[in-house]
Amino acid sequence: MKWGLGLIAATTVGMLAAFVPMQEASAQSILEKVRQRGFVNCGASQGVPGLSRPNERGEWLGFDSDVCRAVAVAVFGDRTKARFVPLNAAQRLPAIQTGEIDVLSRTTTWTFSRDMAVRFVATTIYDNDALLVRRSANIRTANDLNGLTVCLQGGGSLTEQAIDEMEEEHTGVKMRRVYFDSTIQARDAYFAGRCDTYVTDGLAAWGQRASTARNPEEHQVFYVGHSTEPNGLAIPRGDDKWFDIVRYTVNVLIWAEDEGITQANVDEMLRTTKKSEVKRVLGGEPGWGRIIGLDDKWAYNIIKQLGNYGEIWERNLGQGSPLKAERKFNRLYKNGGLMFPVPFN
Amino acid sequence: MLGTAKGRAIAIQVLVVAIAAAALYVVGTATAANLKAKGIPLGWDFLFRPAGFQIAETILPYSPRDPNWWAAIVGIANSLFVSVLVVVFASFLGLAIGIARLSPNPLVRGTARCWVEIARNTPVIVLLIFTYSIWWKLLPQSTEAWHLAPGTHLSLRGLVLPAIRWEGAAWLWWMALAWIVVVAAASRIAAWRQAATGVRPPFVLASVAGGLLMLGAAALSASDGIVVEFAEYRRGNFFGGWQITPELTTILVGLTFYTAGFIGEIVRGGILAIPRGQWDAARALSLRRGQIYRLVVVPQALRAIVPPLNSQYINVVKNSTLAIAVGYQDFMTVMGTVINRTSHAIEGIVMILGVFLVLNLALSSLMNWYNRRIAIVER
Amino acid sequence: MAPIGSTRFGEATWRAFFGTPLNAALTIAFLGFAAMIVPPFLRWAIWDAVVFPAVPASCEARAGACWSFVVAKSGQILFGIYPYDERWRPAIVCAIILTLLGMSVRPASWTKWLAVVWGTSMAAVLVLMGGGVFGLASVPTSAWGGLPVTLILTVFALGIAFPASIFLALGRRSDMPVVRIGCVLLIETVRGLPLLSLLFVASIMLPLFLPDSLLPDKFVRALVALTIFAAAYLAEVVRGGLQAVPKGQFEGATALGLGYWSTHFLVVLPQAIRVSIPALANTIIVMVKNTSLVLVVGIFDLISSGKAALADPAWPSPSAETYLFIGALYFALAFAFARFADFLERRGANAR
Repeated sequence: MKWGLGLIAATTVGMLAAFVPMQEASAQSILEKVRQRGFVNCGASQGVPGLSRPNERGEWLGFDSDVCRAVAVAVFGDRTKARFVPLNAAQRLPAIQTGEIDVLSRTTTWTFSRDMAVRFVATTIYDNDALLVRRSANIRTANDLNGLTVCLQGGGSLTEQAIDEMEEEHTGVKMRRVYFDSTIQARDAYFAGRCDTYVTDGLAAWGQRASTARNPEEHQVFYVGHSTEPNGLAIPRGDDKWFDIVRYTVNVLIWAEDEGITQANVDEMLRTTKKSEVKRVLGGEPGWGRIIGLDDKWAYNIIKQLGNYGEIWERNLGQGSPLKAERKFNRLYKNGGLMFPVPFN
Repeated sequence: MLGTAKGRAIAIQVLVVAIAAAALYVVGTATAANLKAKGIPLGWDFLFRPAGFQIAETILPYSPRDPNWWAAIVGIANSLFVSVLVVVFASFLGLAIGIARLSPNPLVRGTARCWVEIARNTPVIVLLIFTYSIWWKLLPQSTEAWHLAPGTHLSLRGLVLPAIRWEGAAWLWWMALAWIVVVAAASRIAAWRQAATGVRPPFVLASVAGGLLMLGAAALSASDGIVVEFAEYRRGNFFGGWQITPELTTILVGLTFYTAGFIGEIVRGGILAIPRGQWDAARALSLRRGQIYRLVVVPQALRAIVPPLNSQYINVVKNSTLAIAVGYQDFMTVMGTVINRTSHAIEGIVMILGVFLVLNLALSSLMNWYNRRIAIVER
Repeated sequence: MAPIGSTRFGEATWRAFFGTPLNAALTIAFLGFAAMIVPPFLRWAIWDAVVFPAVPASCEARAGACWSFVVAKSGQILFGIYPYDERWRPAIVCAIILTLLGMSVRPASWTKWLAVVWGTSMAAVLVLMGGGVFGLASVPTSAWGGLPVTLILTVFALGIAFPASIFLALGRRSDMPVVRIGCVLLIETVRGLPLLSLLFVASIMLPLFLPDSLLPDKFVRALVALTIFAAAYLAEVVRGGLQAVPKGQFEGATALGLGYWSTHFLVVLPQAIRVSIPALANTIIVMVKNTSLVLVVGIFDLISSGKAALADPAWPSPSAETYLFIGALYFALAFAFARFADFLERRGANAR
């Protein structure tokens, strides 16, 4: 009896004690938390070829994974200091809000309402929603889609909305939908023949066409979204220091491609360059890193360990990968794309 | 005051209330703070805004222009539809398995045993996704669909049947209704006569047969009211007719397989609980095996079967939420979409919890009522 | 109901299969059915299947099952996204838990020492999985995956839920109305809800309900949901056991001057739990299977790991084979437990 009472009393005290620390909200920047922890927590997908997926060894491959690694390199100078947290579509934003992850790098479309909940930092990929469809279905215009069955990820996803919008735009077009919990299930259902087509992000469609299809030539990628969507990195709101680091990490990647600096020639560039901007950014001038709260070699390390934007793109999504996707909008401005670096002046 | 047992009891209860209140306070303030910090508004007006999303298969009429509350009801109807069908199928199948488990034939016994072991030892979600992935291996592409009968096609797109509808005069429906009333009354009178005289008059048989003849004749005389609609095939898809999708089939087959295994064990337990004397007596009356089961064993076994059956039926309702894994849109999936689109997570989850509690309470009171009805009335 | 008195084996067998017309019809029907199902399945699963070499090309060449994929990906399916070089750690964890479960099978081993062994082993399991001490690299729960997750969730959920369930069961039988009503409400609410909805509450709602400083990570949240679920079901099992204890036992204990807690812990509960062991074992099997639901809240259990493995673009996507493998793993676990439960039931029946 007595210890029963004691137990209850102890629990009460314990609960109240736990209640106290909640009052003092930590004003610590994510940067300090990351440094103490020793690694960056990256929000990843649950497996999308070319963007982020774990291989047999549990290593994360793909464009999104490498971009988040770049953040880890900026902070620690070490590409292995990135940890990946797999998240499904419903969990990704709450995971940022609760601080479970430091950076979300998982093909998340930058929208107004999402930007009000978390903070988008930079666009890493411009993409459209696309249908993967058999060539035998003979699709030339959206009107040809009428009456076909489409496999898709449900739950109010943007790809689902793309189909809705397409139907609104082209009156008379009605597609029959089969909803799945994940894009992988939708993909398998498409390739098995449950559906005539399957809707996903454009790059993912190229990826599946290249890899999962027994004969890629039997399938075509048909873009349906009437708008090109920016996919970006997101972080928690209200942390300028962390925002700077993530933003300029992405910028270094694009800037390096613009300047022609690659993984292979970065050392040579640092030695031979005449441009003071290049020399400074690559750590040739002491004290440069302090401005952003990192060491002087942070940008150099990113290029040295991961390469520039174009290299990361080609390695994971482009000609150096099974996907062989077209870069389209993701080319540099001077090649007709939308990628434009902020000058490091 | 703490010296007496009563005093202690009061103290403990006060403490319990205090702890609960403290916990509620922590959760309440934290929720309010979180909602404010994340800018999440509360309110139920989202229910009356258009849902805006599609639902692939529905029992009730639905379009994306309907409000969210109607989408929720459509989801509940989908869940109930699956649950009811599974309960019916699994009950009959479970009865068969329970009896098969006691069969003298080793082949029958062994098959039933395998069924039960697989059902009891595999997670239902694995059964479901495995069942779903089997269709890919078994069924043909829609371009090479198996044409099983006129207007009946089986392929990866599902089973397509000709739709048969009655579009004739409404009086036939009224006639059918009247017939049901007559049969019910006849069965009542027959039971009453049996109780009074010991002889059961064949009223029920007569009314069933008579009614069938009459209905058949009426339907024939107005046979132009029967509309048979064949599905039309265009570019790999079927339009019209009755279509049963692989997703619905998967959740039905998977859950039925699973539940039937459990019900089979319950039935077996119920049958084994019947004293040997009952069997001996029934055999002494030279009843056949089928008669022994129907007249002696099953009615008594039911008493031992119904209470655990109750929890199995509730489990079916709960397991129907796993439809999420195989692409059939049940209440849970629909609510997930509503929450995603409106961001009213708290209200949405409260609705999910409330609906399941009400459903399960209703189901369990129904089963309790049935249990009281069949219980032995001690005289 | 088996034929009795037949001395000739052949005759008895004949009677069992073809004794009556109905029986003969059943035998023929079942054999026909088996002839339809079994040969194609065997052809797919064995004769036309490919196991080695475990590379993608071997699967594209054969029409049967692609076991090569399962072989090549077994590490990923079993251990999820756990860092490759550290996979010996979850492997040891699985071995520890399975060995302990095996050791705990014999009722003779149910002593205080076993509890101590379990306690220390579970601490070791957490250290091994999480790391961060003794020079082990730290691995966050978000990188845990596969079979160890299933085992850890099961063991911890049940380990915490069982003591809690005893208090809930006692509370439900308490004379104090507030305690009783509280326990009844908790038990019945949880039992009336699908586990899936509890997991959703834990994963999506808990971050809103709790201040950030109190918020446990995703894995612990799922564990909390599983524990509450298990506690409610176990409480009903324990209550059933308590009801089976004769009133005389309470009266006897009270007559000896024992108080409420001593009466229950020394006299009543040991008897009640012994009576409910078969039902407890059944609940344990149910919980082993229920852990598979954590995939919907994004934890990398066996099914999610399997799905992630299926996302590899280099391979065709042999989903049926993968799910068959995962199903077989669960089956092996649960079936072993079920046999153990049967053994306890028979032993209990003999003791009486």
